[in-house]
Amino acid sequence: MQTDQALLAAIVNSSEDAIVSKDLNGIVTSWNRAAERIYGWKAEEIIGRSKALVIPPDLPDELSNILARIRAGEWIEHYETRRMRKDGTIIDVAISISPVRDTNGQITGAATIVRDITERKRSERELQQRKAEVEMLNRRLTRAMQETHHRVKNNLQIVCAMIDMQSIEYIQQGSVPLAELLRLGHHIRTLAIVHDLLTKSIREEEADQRISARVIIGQLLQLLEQTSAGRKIHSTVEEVELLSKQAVTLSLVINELVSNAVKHAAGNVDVSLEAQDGTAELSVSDDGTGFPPDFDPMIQANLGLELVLELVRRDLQGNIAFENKPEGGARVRARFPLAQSIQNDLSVSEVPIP
Amino acid sequence: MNGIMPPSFFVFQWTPMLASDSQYPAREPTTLSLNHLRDGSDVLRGKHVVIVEDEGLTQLQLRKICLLAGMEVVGTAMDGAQGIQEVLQTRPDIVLMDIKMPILDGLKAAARILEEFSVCVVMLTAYDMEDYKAEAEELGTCGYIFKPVNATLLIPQLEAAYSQFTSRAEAH
Repeated sequence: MQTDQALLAAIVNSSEDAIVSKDLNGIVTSWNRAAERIYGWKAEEIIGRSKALVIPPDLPDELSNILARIRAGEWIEHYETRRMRKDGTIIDVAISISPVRDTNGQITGAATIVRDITERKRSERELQQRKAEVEMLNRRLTRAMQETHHRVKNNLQIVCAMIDMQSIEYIQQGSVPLAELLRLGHHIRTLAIVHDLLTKSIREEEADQRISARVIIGQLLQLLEQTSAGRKIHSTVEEVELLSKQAVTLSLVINELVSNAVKHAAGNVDVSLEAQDGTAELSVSDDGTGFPPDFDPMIQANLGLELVLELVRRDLQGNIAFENKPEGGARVRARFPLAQSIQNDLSVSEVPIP
Repeated sequence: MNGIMPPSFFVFQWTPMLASDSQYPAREPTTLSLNHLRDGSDVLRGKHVVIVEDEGLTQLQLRKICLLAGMEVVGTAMDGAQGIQEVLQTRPDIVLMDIKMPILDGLKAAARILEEFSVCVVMLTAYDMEDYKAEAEELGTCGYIFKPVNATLLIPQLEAAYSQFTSRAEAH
């Protein structure tokens, strides 16, 4: 009998899990070595004292609840909760509690097996956090892809609109002049440059994305110089950040104005972009003979100039002036606000209805 | 194309993209050429239209297409809120409405307009999502056209949408 008890004691003491017992008032009656390691309390320090010593202060009712269930003869299996070590550290534990009965079958207390799961819980929380991070990245990537998709679709719409307008323009002739097709080709390449630059740092929201005017105009003019038959295009561009939509519009405007200057005037072409007090001014000028004295862009505008007027007024919300420089040559100046952000989602109830 | 169409730059085949169980007009595939559109459209001629589209270049294109069809562009707007005002002021026959716009999107604007009066609203969008199409249909719009568009595509679709609108109105 003694040998059996010694064997049982050896098993209990060599267990990796804490094995403790308490009476129905919660007073500790036994405490193995693993319990000493997990809780930091020596057996002689805690036996005879309340088990409440290891219950965290934020779980004040837990001991009484457990004792009530034990009195009712209930078994509690793999219950995950928190416990407090002697030094105050909170640990995660999984506990199983079973009622202890005397020889008459009366419940006299409870035996508890406690496993320290702090490490497992920490890994679980880390995994959860990683999962949330991956899910967030995935959502951002999806939105960025949707944004890119929408932008590509928009570019295709712009290309389609330009081709369609040329078709309508020349509907009577039944064909479009080669020069106009070449001009369309330039516009498509311009859209491709802007798309390239915008896609390098795609954001989820188009309205968020800004791009350097210097970079975009630099690349555009490089392309235009390749087809300007040896004519030089000088540029002075201030470092200005443009919204993605402004970048697309401005590039189409510059493309049109520079192509016109190369086509209609001799000498070099100058392009400049200056910014002051939130307003940008684009200037495209040449050394040619200038605009005729009666030039009115509204009346004489070809499709290209009509496009420029439309883009500056509507998309850039700016204004445009056609003038001759004092020293000779034509100059087109477009002024437009450098928007801070795009206003969105105004509630319908705030819209005044006439 | 039946293999007999002239090899013209202007010839396109139009295939309806709308499901047959839709209340939107479903038409047999039609081949059109711009040559047929020189004289405008009998259905659309003289009709008043408001164009609500935030992309300047697309708006210019839509104006040209509407003029080509013989319509009168009585108003334009660059966002949904401005669009509502323009439509309620001018009371056009047809409203061409983009979806993705600043300030107020086209679906909300269409809903607000249709609460006020019955008009042929045609949605025009780069969104190919079924959700938006279903929502537009639910609102009582008469057509949902996918960008990119051109005259040969848009005019017949506008004709179909307007014819459907008038027959719906007559039925009521």
